[in-house]
Amino acid sequence: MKEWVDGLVEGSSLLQSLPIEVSYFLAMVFFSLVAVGWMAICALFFVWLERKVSARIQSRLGPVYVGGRFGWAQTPADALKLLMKEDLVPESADRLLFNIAPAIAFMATLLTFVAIPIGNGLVIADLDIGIFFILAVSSLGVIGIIMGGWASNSKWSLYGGMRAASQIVSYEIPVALSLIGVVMIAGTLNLVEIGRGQAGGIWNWYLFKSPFLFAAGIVYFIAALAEVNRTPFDLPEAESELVSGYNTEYSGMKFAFFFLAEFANLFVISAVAVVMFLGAWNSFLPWQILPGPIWFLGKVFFLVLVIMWLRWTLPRLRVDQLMHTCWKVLIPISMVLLIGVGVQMWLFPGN
Amino acid sequence: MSAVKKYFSDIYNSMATVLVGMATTGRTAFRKPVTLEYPDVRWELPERYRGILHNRIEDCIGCLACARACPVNCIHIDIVKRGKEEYGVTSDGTKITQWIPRFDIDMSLCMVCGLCTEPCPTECLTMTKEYELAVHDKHDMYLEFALDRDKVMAEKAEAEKKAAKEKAAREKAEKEAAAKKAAAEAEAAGKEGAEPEKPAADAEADGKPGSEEKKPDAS
Ligand code: SF4
Ligand code: SF4
Repeated sequence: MKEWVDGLVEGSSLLQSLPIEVSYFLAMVFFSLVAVGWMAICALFFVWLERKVSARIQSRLGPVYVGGRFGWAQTPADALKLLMKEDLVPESADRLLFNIAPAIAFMATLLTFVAIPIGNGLVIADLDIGIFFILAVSSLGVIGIIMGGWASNSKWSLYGGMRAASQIVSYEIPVALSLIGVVMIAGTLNLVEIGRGQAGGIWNWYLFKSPFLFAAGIVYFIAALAEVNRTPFDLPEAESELVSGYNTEYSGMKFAFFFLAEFANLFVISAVAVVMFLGAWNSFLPWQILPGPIWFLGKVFFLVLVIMWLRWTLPRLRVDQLMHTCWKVLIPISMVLLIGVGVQMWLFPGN
Repeated sequence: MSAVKKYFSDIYNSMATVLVGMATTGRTAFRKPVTLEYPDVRWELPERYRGILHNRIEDCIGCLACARACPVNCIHIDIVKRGKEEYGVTSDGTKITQWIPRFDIDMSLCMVCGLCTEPCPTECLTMTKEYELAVHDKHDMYLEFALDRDKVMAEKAEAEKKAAKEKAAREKAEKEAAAKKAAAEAEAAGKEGAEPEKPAADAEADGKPGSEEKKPDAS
């Protein structure tokens, strides 16, 4: 997007008359608004989709009334309701932390949105360390969660926060290890470059480049589910054990922020999986039939659907099972896979 | 060795059973919905559904059988005996011999068991299919069925009196018409000069059955 802004500044006399800092500041505000809007649309759509998918899996209908067909306006109506609700702060809560926790959780997700390429070069910030940035920033979200759990001064929230801390910190490792394999093969951390490297048919997608990467893709998917607290790893908000986990005491707009971040995270992990393993915006044929963003969003949509499908299929893991899965299964396996990728690159250089 | 084997078979099993579970939920996702869009589409209720109670009070004879049968005592009936005074009959012909100034059912206590409907001799206390029992004010749960029977009886008596009066008036008019006719006939007979008194009396005696035969035409 930097090139666009440069082009815009050069092409417009109005922008040229402003100091360069001001025009860049305006561009920053504009693109962050784009990111917020895109994130909100994703989250609202996914909430609606989740309700529909869960309803169909349980042989129900889901929302049907609001907005006429398919209840499409149900989630905007719910969001409006949440925004207009009274904003309660528990008396014994730590007011400052309580208030900034949702903002931090929201920000961590929002920042990842700027680095995700929707199409070839279609990205707000084309970072050379794209995937590293996403991994680093998305794990900031857990600070918001722990903060919210601690500041609420309620035992359920605190349990949720502690669980989130242990879970997310553990699962960061397999996520990173499984992505490093792709980075090794692609030879770059830049998400746009990684996407370009997968052009030209399904056999060029990194998921199918090597058996080790195929397994790494599955490891990434499982670990990423745990990182964004999706069932079967939704222990931080296990509603049957912890009321609602770290957001028990939240209401109104702050709750909406947590909720929004949670569902926007679905988009983030699916988008990272698509960019890293599933050929980003490239079609599965050697030639691009439809525009890149359509392919990209289609793949993301498919992965989100699978995540929801999993959520309504599997029961929640126990805490010890959760730790077992991470430390005894996913981390050793991802390490072996990493070595496997290295050996493969050493044996078949240039492939 | 077996521990290693278990480790890998556990991983295999977990992946395989996830797929089995997903196949199951995937199948149910394409099943016809089992729920109804409630306010628009409703259940087909069974014949003997036990909903809110209703009493056709016109048929109630105030026998108290229902109040005695109720396990939670939520039917309150007052009866007043008034000697031989008759309050009419029910639709199945039972005589009503007492006045029922109060027949209340407190639906907020009622557990909708239906025991009260079974002993009712005239089958006037029934359960409807109405199952939306929620109300805004709990006093709306208190159903009052009693008729103001005195008023009903007074109205009935009034109506009867009026009918009798009308009948009397009609009969009087008919009688007068018959008398006039008889007089005219007598006059005619008098012109002919044959027995002026007796035919007139006959005509008057015949007048009554004659008027009764005419009655359907008149009404
Ligand atoms: S239905 Fe049962 S509880 Fe209700 S009034 Fe009749 S006998 Fe009493
Ligand atoms: S049992 Fe039937 S007839 Fe007797 S008091 Fe109750 S409702 Fe009336």
